[in-house]
Amino acid sequence: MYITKKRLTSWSAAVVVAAALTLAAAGCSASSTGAKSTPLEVGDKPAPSLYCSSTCQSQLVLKAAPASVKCSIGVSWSATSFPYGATSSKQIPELAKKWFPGMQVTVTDGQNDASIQSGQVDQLVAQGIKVLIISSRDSDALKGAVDRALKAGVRVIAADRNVNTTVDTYIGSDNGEAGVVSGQNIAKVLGSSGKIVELAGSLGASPTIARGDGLRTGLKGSSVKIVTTQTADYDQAKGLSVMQDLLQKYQPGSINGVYTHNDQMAFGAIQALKEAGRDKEIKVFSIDGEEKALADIKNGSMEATVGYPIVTKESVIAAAKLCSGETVDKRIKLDSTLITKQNVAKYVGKSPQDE
Amino acid sequence: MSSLATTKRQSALGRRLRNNWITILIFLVVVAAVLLFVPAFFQPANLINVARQSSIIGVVAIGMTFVILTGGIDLSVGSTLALSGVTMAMLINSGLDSTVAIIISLLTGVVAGLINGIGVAILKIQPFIVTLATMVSILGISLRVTNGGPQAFDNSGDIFNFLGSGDVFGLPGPFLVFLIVAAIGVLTLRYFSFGRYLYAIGGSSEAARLSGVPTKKMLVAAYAICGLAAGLAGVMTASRLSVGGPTAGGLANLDAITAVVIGGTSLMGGTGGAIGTVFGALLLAVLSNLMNLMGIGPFDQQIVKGAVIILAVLFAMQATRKRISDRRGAAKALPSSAENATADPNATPGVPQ
Repeated sequence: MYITKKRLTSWSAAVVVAAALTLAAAGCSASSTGAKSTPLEVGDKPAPSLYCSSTCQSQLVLKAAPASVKCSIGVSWSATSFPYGATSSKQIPELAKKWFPGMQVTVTDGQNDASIQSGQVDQLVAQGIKVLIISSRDSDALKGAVDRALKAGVRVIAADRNVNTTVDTYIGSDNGEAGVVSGQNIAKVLGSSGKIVELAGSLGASPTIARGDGLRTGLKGSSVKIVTTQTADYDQAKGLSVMQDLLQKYQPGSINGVYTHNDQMAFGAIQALKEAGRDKEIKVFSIDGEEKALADIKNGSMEATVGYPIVTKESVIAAAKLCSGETVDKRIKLDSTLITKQNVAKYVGKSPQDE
Repeated sequence: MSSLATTKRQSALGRRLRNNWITILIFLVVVAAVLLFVPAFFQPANLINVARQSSIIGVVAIGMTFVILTGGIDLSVGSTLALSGVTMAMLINSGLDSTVAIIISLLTGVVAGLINGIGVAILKIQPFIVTLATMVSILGISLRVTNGGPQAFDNSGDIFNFLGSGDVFGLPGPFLVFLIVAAIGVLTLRYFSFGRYLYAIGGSSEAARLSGVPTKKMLVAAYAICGLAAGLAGVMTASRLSVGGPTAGGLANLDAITAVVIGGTSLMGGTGGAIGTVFGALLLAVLSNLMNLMGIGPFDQQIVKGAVIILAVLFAMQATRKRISDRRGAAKALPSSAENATADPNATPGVPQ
């Protein structure tokens, strides 16, 4: 049973090569086919998204000619390991290339770590960027790096998540408001008989707190009761198993709605409802507005979702304005759009999470 | 020697029960308490849910048992699970036959495991470090090929139904898969020389090597099996959700390690086994289901879960200590085999589980 060292080495080398090949093959075949994350279909002229109201649009009028915009901008996203971050980090350079050929974009990925992100911001500043678009991992932890950037003369756009200092502009919708809009809709749909369970996101995360508080504000004045709150970590598989447990606890007739802090958990909850044959009895209310959620609203398995739009177009236009020395308002707010069966057709193909 | 061996053989079942008695006892106590306080738990639909919920972590944990028995650890299983699910979803979307897609996804898991095994056995890097590195890289591959987004696919085929949502003879398909994987794990570890070698390596790698165990080959194989199990769990997760998500693995590595350890397998290697792991995985699923049924708040659930894990491990450690002292006692009676008691599994009187 002894193996000579030589044999072992050649054997292991063979395995390594085979391993690398298989992984590469899996990767290649996959990337060539599956990376069908909605191709960006935008006009040649800079224009904000569908979720930018008239006020928001008026804040983003670019006076300079797009071809005259020449500067280098840095993008620092908290992480790219979640769809919102991945889509944003991918779209911003694409939009910039399309709209402003003279704009150079460097994108960094903070890997969900505030200190990594902080270092990346310092590096972008050292590279000589003129405008920084930052979606911070932590609004306090990134304060130092952003202050250093501002001090070095860099104009700063906080995208989606604010930084706890005075930046040039903060562009994003509002998690709390999304919860309020959903809560008011739940009160309207379920009326006085409303009894809902809440599937919360990751405990302690700021969107979780805001989306939970917003719901309660929105429900104020109605007689809808939140019978229980459990976390499913923004995860589809956990949404499924937690909902299964809750359906066991709350037998038919005892609840008629579920509020989920994001669409992924709603997809899990819908599956649990269908498997238990209780999808007619319990309505699903969610937040985010992924393309699949719109499809679910269309076919009736989801009652409503509230759009939480990405802010890539708005950020790129604001960056162009700052590059050209134009002023930008301190706050640019995108809509928390309630999407139901009545208006879903308008948003299909232009979902808040892609558009 | 022969008389002792006979007694041991005769009481094989008894010994197995003794070795796992604490886990089984906790399990029974929990069941009794539940009967009293949460009758909803025993409704068939709920039991089926629990069985289903235990399956995926269970499959990962059986694979993990092989690695932990050698004294190693595999932190990369969650990433491997995600990569395998993503691979399957994308291959099916590209029009590939579902069986072929599943096989390639399982192979992805094996390859990930082989890389871990080679890192540990041949490059001699500590298992924690190797698998920490592959955990990060494999997650990166999943994110890269998917652009960070979940990959939806059509899971209406029979095979996906079986692996994900379907029932066979009233039992959930994924739970049957878990039971089959567990049975294979138990048999391999107990009755095949490969399994016995893993115990020997976990007891003392050097002693095992000196007594002729091809330790490197065996280690690589153990990690490959762990990768295969994680790959299978990825296929199961994706089949269940009809989505391959690049971040699907989440904390599967920690859950699987927890299931193995509360099942009585020592992180030091050499003692434990797959039966305990089955109970460990069930205990985790039952615990979370129960807390949801009882309406315990989400913050308190975490506190309780941590406390239960500590308790379970304390009990499991005590059982292991007793097992080892039993074995020492037996070894003293047999001076000739005492020296390489751990090195040669066939000569070890108190064969663990």
